[in-house]
Amino acid sequence: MSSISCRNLVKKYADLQVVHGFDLEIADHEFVVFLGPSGCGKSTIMRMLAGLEEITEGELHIGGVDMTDAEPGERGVAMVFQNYALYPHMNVYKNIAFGLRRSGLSKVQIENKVRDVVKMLALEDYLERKPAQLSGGQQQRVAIARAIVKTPDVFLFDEPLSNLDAKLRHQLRVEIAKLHQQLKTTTVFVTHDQVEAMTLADRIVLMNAGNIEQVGTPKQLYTQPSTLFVADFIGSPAMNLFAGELQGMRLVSPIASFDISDQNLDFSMVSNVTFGIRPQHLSLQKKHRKDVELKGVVSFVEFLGSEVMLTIEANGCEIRLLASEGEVLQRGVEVTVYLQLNRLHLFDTNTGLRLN
Amino acid sequence: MAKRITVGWLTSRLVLVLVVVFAVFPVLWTLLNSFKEVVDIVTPIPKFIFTPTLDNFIYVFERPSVKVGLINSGIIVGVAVLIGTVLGVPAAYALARYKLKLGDDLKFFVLSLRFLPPVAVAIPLMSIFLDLGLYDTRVSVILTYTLLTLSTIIWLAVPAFERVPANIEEAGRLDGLNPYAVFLLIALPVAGPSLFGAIVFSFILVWNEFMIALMLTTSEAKTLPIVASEFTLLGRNVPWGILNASVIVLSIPPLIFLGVLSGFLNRVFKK
Repeated sequence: MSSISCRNLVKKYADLQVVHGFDLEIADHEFVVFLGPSGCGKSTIMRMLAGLEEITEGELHIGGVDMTDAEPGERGVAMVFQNYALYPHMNVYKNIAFGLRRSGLSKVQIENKVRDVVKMLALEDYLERKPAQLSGGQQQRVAIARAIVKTPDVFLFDEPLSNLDAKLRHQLRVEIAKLHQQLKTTTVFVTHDQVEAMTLADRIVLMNAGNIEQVGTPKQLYTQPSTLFVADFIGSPAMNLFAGELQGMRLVSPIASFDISDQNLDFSMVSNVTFGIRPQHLSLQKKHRKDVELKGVVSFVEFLGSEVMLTIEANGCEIRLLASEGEVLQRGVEVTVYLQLNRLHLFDTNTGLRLN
Repeated sequence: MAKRITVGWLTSRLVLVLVVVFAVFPVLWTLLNSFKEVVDIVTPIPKFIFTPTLDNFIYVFERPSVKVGLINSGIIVGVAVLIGTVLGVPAAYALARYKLKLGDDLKFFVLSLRFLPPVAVAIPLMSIFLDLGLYDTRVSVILTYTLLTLSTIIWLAVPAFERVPANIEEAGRLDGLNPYAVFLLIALPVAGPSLFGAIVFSFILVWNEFMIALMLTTSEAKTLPIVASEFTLLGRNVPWGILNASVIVLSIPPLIFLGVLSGFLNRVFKK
């Protein structure tokens, strides 16, 4: 097991730069998730960690050793791919044992290791099968077994659950989380699915266009998004965002204008702001003395099970609110919406940086 | 589930049967004729029932020229296919996997070897081999045929390797394989069945080759197609039975080759 240290990693393809100086320290035993929209560079960085992509500039240390130019097989990493990447001409047993053949272990030792891992992942019944004879979920379990059996210093998961259906994805996600609790191997996990990221990660690295937007625990990203991009990306349903203007201690916007003097912020330089509030933090009942009141009309109702998503038109803007199932409302009903000021997120519209 | 018999289904089956008959019947007829006396062959009414004879085959095999032709063909084609495989398969892998500066030009050049009519290739080669004293030797035919097998195998093997998912090879590299081991232990077995097709195709191509062999050989290095063609020159009366028998003899080695090679591949890769 190892720590990972990325120092100013840069990736260029000819003239196209896709990663712009990536700095990150990953502690031993940590489970770090790279999250971001497709094309943000998260998979490229993972492939640089694995040694499958050359590092154009910068340094990579794994377990304190400089691995910037090391061969993939020398880095002590094991990787699980999105499309499983099992060897199609070998059966499950050989797929798992293949990486051990060069480790100098005896045949009996290899067999014991494979049996242990196979048991851990409930693959006993499939050892003789070829990958093509397995379902997607089984194939990915074999791929995970192939990674675990090498007892690597670092696990790399490259969107391992993206090709699976929703139910299997959840099941395997739980399995991966349990495996990490058990093995405690340093893990880097790439995904574009925020639910996977939130549930698995010790820390999330949220990326956008080759840059880090924010690094933090899932809770930090959710409650204190440091940029507009993070605020918009994290949280489902997505945050309500409105453009506004600061006039002294008042925030003026088409949907609502209110006093923000008790927000702890430094806004001396800024006038154009964007404020955000999560649908969960809007309510049809007044909860605090200082809640901002909005009059509106329900324009759309989505039934989600235990909750109902209401789209409300107020002052020519649309705002989305998550109500409990008991508060079922019809289209066209007039309502008063209460906005919890202590849950407000304020951003500088020009730089996208958080203000409060 | 019962298949519903529709007009469309019937028509498609009928067309299929006709095509199969059209393709297979001549071969079958040749096989039958090779066991017939000449009188049974030249009758105006085709005979399906006749007393079979092995005379045609005995005649063919007793000819020393046939024996020489068979040995020549075996050695020349075998070596040309072997060299083509040993050099062509790794070359195709390199072209498919590594972005080479001249990769596309190289691929086009390889294909362009097959553009020219064989005569255009054979005439300059003939004069070169005459100068080198290699004319009418197996070496000269092997060299020339290697050009054919090499280009055919490269051209057909490049797509076979391109179909091997890159991730599988990357998994191999993470399992500690060097690039050669990735090629030998992963790319080669995964692409195996398609490569088999490429090799067989190149074998058949040079086994049946006539034009170049005709121009590069006169007696010593004659291949079987040349020898077989000479049976038509035996006299005024075309010896149909012998001709048919020689065609059958000519057709058998590629079938054996196919069987042996596919059996070999099954043993090695299908375990």
